[in-house]
Amino acid sequence: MRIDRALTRELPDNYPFAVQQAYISSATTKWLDPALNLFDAINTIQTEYVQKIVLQHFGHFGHGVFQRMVM
Amino acid sequence: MSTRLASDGLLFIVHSRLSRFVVSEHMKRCQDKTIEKINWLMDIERRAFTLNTHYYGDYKDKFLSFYRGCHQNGEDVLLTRLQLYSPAKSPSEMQNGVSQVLSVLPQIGITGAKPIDLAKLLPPDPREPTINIMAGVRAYFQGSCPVSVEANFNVFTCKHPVAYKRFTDLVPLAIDHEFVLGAARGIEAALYTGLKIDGTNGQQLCRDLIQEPTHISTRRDVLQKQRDRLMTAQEELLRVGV
Repeated sequence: MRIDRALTRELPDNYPFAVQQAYISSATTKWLDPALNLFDAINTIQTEYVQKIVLQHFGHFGHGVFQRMVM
Repeated sequence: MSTRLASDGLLFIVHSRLSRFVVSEHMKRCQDKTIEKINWLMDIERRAFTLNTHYYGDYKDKFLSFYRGCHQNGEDVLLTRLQLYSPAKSPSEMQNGVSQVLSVLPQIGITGAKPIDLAKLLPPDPREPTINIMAGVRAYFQGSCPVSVEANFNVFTCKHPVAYKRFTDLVPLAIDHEFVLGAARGIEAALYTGLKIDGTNGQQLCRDLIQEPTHISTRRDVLQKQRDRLMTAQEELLRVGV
């Protein structure tokens, strides 16, 4: 087992916090993708919604020129 | 008509050069800010940390017993049985044993012990350091949905999560604050400056922007003239009728 082969300047049975930290990091570093996925999903919905509002709000003005300027 | 079309076109060119896609740019800024915040949240999670000492300790304890039990029995039989213990149930050897042990514990000065605490009595294991590391790491993530092996081990109801849930709360919160609600903040200012209508000739620009499309006003003129003519005709017909 890895733990038996590992040797540090500590007395037997003591393991540096770096060990736990490494395991914790191996999980936490995987959190970015799901977080960004969530953002992408919200972004898609929000962008569509904003486009709709812009069309509603500015679409009537000046040949749609106004709307094109805005979005 | 041609001059008005030309001025529409000119307006468009001038404006699009100055301020094309005002809202799109605003949204882009909000997106960038949100991603920056998500990265920041990732950064601060890089280092393991909690001030929820009590919950962390509690979970670590439970996972220690849990992993110890797993390792001893090759499965979590003992723990599941301790877990399922209830004095009201029909007596079995296990139930009797547990209630006997619990009832005499106060005699040696240990009070308030629960059936699950008996798992702590399992003899120390040569793998104890490994189990200790496992429990320490696992307790940090308590609050995540229980994985299959722990599914029926309901001591781990996720009431006070340590690291996992704070992240799953903060990310949506950050997205909501920076992006969903954030998009509304400053949009008015962005439109004012983006469309240059806060400048010196802002009023004129506004007037131009809300100018009716020429084809519509031309069409209206034509229709109005037609209507006028028809009204006059009607009046004349009425007079003839009299």
